Amino acid sequence: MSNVLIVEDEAEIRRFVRHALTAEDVQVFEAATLQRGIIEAGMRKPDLVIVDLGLPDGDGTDLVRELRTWSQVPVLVLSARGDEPQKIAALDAGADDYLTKPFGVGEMLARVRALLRRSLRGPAQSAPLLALGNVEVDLAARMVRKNGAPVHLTPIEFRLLACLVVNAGRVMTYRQLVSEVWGPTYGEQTHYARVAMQRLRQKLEDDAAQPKFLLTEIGVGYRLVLP
Amino acid sequence: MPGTTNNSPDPDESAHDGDEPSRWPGYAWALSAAAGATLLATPLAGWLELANIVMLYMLALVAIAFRFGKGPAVAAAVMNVAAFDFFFVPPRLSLAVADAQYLLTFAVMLATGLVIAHLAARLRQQAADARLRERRSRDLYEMARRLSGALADEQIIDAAKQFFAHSLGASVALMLRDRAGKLFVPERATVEGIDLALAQRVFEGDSTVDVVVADSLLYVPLKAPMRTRGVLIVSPADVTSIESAGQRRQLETVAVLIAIALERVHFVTVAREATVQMEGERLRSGLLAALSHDLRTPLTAILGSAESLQLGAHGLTQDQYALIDAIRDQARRTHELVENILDMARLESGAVRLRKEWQSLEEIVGSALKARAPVLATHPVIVALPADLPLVECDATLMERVFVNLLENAAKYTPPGCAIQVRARIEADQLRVDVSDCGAGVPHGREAAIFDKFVRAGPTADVPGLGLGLAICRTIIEAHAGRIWVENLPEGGADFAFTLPRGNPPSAELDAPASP
Repeated sequence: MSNVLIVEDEAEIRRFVRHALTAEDVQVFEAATLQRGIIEAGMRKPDLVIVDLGLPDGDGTDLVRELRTWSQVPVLVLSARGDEPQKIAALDAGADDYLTKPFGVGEMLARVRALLRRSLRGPAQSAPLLALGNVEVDLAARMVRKNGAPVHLTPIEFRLLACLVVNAGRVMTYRQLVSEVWGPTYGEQTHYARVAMQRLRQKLEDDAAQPKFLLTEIGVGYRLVLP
Repeated sequence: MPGTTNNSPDPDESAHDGDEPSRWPGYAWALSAAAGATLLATPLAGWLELANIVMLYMLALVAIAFRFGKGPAVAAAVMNVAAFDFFFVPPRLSLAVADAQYLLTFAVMLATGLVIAHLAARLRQQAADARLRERRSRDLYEMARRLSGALADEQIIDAAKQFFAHSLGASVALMLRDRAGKLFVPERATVEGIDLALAQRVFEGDSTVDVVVADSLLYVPLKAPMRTRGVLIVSPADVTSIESAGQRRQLETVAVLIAIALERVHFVTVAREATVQMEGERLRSGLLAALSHDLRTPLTAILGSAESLQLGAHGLTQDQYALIDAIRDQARRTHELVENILDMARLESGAVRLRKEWQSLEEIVGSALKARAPVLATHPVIVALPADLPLVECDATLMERVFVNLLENAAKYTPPGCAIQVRARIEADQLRVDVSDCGAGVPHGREAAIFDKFVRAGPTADVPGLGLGLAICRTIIEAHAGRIWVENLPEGGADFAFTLPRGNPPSAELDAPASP
């Protein structure tokens, strides 16, 4: 049985999140403030933390930063639409994913399941052989096939794909991707990631404009979803 | 002393010829001084040498020179020589001279008298000048003090007017620079016969132009450190008197003082306005943030609660399930309306800062399609973007909003099954995007109006909405220096088109070996 901590000041939102998660056989702990959230996180050792970015006693990003000093527990942040800089800050601080309010329960459960799976499996042991619909990725052999036929990727494209595969289920900000793939000095050249992603999608996705697994988080970054 | 303690404004005071205003009494005094010296010397003539009698005359001359200046002193010198010759030099009571050596005495007497007269006159003039200068500096200090305390243009104008009236007996006009950088004449600061064209030239003139004189008016540019603040127009009682070097320098100094005061007042005003505006903006964006939070939170709770009810729906009848569906749909629709209203308010209040980055249009379209997948389920969407379409510089979130609104509109106003097409192409220095449908098109004559706030195309009682979607699109596109319009296609349907500047897309290193 997994433990999830939700740090959110609105009781009604906490209530339905708990209702939905309990039905999934997840034990839910609640905190209404940032301070309480940090204490609960230390006490309950949750497998996942859900944090609202607008807490009455501080910014949820601070909680993420604090949490990351001693824990690698996955963090899902809740935020308002139009606050992309805040989302990016939370992700860069170490959050794994975000949901924009108002969010559907189905969407939330999918994200929670993905992050819990990640939490149990651990990021280091990602499967070397991965199937993304009709695309197969073998990171160890540096091999990518689509419909059984090998696809040629440039080193940059491969590195971008590998970075997303290793972080499957997480939202990677443009800055994180560019630093990982091109190097830390390229951190501000976020358009590099967009150009490379456009090529990668054209090679791997059936319809590049409506991708199935190389998803866009508009204004924030990219996410690779496992089927 | 007459003629020297003159405190009334009198431009003649600056005259340089040494003449006294009280001239005739001076000459009378010169005559009486010569007569007095003669009367005093006559009884002593037996005892005194003639040389000492000359001394008495000289004393009288010095007194006259210091008291009445050059003219009377010269007259006194001449009269002294004549009186000395007539009354004392033998033969007495005759202008004839027996001993020729007295001619030398006369000459020395006259020459000494003239020199003394000249020196005395110059001293008097210098004293008068010094007093005048002192008074002018006092006036200048007084004006500087008033200027430094001025908080409005009117106070500066009053200080300048008072200074010129008091110190130079001149009236002045001030032409000031308004917000748009144009010259205007404030109501209370004008004189007759200003040549506006000339004032404009002086105002715009480069730094080599100082004072321009025309039609007995002086035009002085008011040059402050940042920029020229206006033109000072002086109407003196006597133009030539102001032409002297000292006067001119003073005039320029005064002009600089006034200009600096005007500039200071200008920046005080600017700073005050900026503070007010900043506070207004902070209030507005704070209000918007609170509003959007307070509206969004209950909607999130309603939506989430409804959906989680449906999750464990085993005990629900079909009717109950449908009711919960309705709650969900209505909450979602309300949320969209709220988002539109808040977006419009945010865009209009200027609280939105564009986060412009080089974006892939394909991604933005894809993201919009995904966001509105439920609405678009009944309408096939064809995305036809060229594979080599360059990146476009825009705010991705706002541009996604444009596509969401256009796609939603197309889905709302066309019958199910009607295909929506998204196309893009480069046209000269612009990127043109078309979102077209196969519906009834936009009613003729409404093509421009539908982009206005709260305006909707035709009778749409059955279609929900506020008429904000297209207005938001227009605001966003115009903020990106683009244009948006609609045209009806010849084969039917509406084509919403917009352009964005193509700009100069940066290149990306895609093949260069990078650090692993």
